[in-house]
Amino acid sequence: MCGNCGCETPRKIEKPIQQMTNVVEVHANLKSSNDTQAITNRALFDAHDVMVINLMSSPGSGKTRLLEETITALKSQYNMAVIEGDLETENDANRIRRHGVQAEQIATGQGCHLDANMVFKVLGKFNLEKLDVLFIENVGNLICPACFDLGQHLNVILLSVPEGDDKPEKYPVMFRAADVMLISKTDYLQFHDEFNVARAIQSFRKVGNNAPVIEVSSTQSNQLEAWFAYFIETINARDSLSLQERGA
Amino acid sequence: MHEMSLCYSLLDTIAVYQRANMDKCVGLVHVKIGPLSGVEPDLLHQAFLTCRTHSIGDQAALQIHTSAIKVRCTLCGKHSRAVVNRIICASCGSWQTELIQGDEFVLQRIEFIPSEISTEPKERQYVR
Repeated sequence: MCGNCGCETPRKIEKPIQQMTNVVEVHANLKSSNDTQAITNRALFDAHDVMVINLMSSPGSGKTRLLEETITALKSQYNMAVIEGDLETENDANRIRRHGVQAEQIATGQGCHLDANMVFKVLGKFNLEKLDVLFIENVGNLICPACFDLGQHLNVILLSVPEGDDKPEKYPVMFRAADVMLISKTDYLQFHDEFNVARAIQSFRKVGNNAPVIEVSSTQSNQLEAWFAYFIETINARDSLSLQERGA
Repeated sequence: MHEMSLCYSLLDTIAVYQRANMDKCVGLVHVKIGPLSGVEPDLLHQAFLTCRTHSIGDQAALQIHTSAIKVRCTLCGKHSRAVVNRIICASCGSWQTELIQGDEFVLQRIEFIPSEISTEPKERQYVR
């Protein structure tokens, strides 16, 4: 009976809120939508034998200049192209185009990084069949770009001398992501007594990164040779690996 | 601030599970964040307050669980805890370590509640 007047209407039983709550266990990676697109991008690059290098650093550390010098020195050996990421302007893309290399600019507006979808959208402008190397110059930022896989094969991180030698400890997520760290603008070492290369490497090791460290200066002759040698060696190692895979 | 785009990704994932709970609304969302995930808990919470508006998470609160960094030393083989800018073995001091835990950004669980008991969004909740 209802409990109020004794009629036959059943008494309404209130369930505790806990019993009405439905708890669903999920355990899903929340970067999966970007990661899924990055896997698609990487498969596309692999299918066309294109090695993709993601350049990351703070603004003004010499990414574009490094690309210009690399293109000048090696464009006779490799077909290269560049995706430029900046908040605004086509300045960097124009600098690359002057060297006769295709460059496509992604203007992120207020976006602080490139993501895998942005890269995928611009890939239609390239003839991947004809490319050996595609550089992605990420937005100058030591925080966000490290969190977004773009489908690259190699993360190159620049630490320029004027920035100070303790940057890896200050930005551990970014420097942990490096496959190689370039200490750039070494021509400034003579003006910056406080920058110590050994200390910079130690700082890089403290974030648990075992990757090679190469000193470069884009304004001095012969100060990029170690980078070029690493670049060529990495491409050759990848080529021989893909040949082995095909053979298998 | 990439936390905004990560929040939209969070809401997209919640939407998938909402389909099986159409009679309920999203009450509490549990998220686990590692110190090396590149996601800042406070910024994520701020972004969630903005992104949930007019979404399926309009009534939802976010409960953020933070995890510790754990590494395995590839030299001595021991497991130890580490801090964000000293990811080295606590036992032998080597920097040759593998990360076991600390870079995750995971949606752990969603609590769906009956629509009739949903109220104004709750204040933020943290579990550290």
